[in-house]
Amino acid sequence: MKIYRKAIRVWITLVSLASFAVGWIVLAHSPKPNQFKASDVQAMPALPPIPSIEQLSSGSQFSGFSIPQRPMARLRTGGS
Amino acid sequence: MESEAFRAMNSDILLMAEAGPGQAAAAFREARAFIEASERRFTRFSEQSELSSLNRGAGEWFHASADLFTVLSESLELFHRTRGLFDPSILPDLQRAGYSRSMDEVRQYGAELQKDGHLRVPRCGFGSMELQPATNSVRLPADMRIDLGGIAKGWIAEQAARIVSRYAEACAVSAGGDMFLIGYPEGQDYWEIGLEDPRDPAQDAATLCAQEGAVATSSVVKRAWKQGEARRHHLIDPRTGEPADTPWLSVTVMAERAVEAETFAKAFLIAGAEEARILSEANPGLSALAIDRSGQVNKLDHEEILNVYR
Repeated sequence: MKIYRKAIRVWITLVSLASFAVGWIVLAHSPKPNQFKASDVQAMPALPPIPSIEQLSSGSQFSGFSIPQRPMARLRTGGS
Repeated sequence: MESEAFRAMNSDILLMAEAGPGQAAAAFREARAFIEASERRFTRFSEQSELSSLNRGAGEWFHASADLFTVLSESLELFHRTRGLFDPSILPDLQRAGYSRSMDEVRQYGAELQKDGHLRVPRCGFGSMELQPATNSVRLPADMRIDLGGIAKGWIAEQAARIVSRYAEACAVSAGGDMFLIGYPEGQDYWEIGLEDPRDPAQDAATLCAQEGAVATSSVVKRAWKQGEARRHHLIDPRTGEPADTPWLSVTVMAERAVEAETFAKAFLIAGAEEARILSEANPGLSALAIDRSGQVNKLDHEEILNVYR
C-alpha cells in the first residue's frame, strides 16, 4: 500500500513537469503581439459639433445636420 | 403629399392630398370616378350627355339632374353678376369661330370653316333661360344652345376637392390649372402656385401664395387655333360674338368659390382694363391678376387678402 502511494506521487510529479515543459514550448513558439505604433492609427473624420437643444428647437442658422424636407406641393395655373 | 394625375375634360387633372397612401388612394378613386361621370354629364361633344339632351330639347321644359340644375342656377347668377360678360349661350358663335369639336380634335385636325361663318347668329341672351327649382326643371328658349365648359370644370374641381377632403386634412384638385384648395400642406399656411407666363408656358411669370379657396385662369393662348388665315381663341365676347379683342393674354382670379373664379377670370379678360376694374369693385372678395402682352403682371383689385404674389 505504501509503495502504491509513493508510485502515485511520482507519477503526479512527472506528469506535472511534463505538462509544464509542453506549455513552455508551445508559448515560446506562438506568434508575438504587435507593438503599438502611433503612425498606424487612422485619422478620425472631422465631425460637426453637436447642436444644443435650443439651436434645434429655434431653427437657427446651425447647419451641421440637414433635416430632410418633403417637397412642397406645387401647382400651376395658366388657363386650359 | 400624395398625388395622382390623369387626363379628363380635355385637361390635365391633378389630385393632391395630405393623407396616408391608403387614404389618398381611396380619395383619388372616388374623386376620379366623380370627375369622369361629371364629364359625361356636362360635355357638349357627346350626343349622349345630359347637356346635349338639354340643348336638343330647347323650347321645352327639361327635367335636369341635381348637378346640372345646380350648375345652371350658378351660371344664371354669375351671368347677372358679370353683367352678361359670362354667357354660356355663346355656343353658336363659338362653333362659328371653329370650336365645333373637342380641343384635342381641333388641335389634331384643325378648325372647321363654317358655312355662312361670317354671319352672326342672333341670340336672345342667357338671362331668358327659365328655371323651376321645385322640380329641377329648366327651359331654354327655342333658339338657345349653351356650353358649360369652363364653369362646369370649375364646379367639378370644387366638388372633387370636397370628396378628397373627407379623407385628407388638406387637398387640392386642379383641372387644367383651375383649382380648388382645402386646408394647407403640412408646415405651410398657404399654397404656392406658379402663375404660368402665357408667352412661354414653361416659365412662371409670378408665384402666388394662395389661401384656401379657388384659383382659375382664362387665357387667349391656350385654346387657340387658326380658322383659315384667322387666328381664333375660345373666349367669345358676347357683345360682338367674336373672340375677344383684349389687351391681356391671361387673367387669374382667386375667389371663395370655383365657379366665381372661373367666370370672373373670363369676364375680366373679355372686359378689358376699365370695365374689369368696375366689375371688380362691384364684386368684392375677388383678387385678380392680368398678364399683358409684354409679360407685365397687373393687379386688378384692391383686396388685401388672397393677393400675395412675387
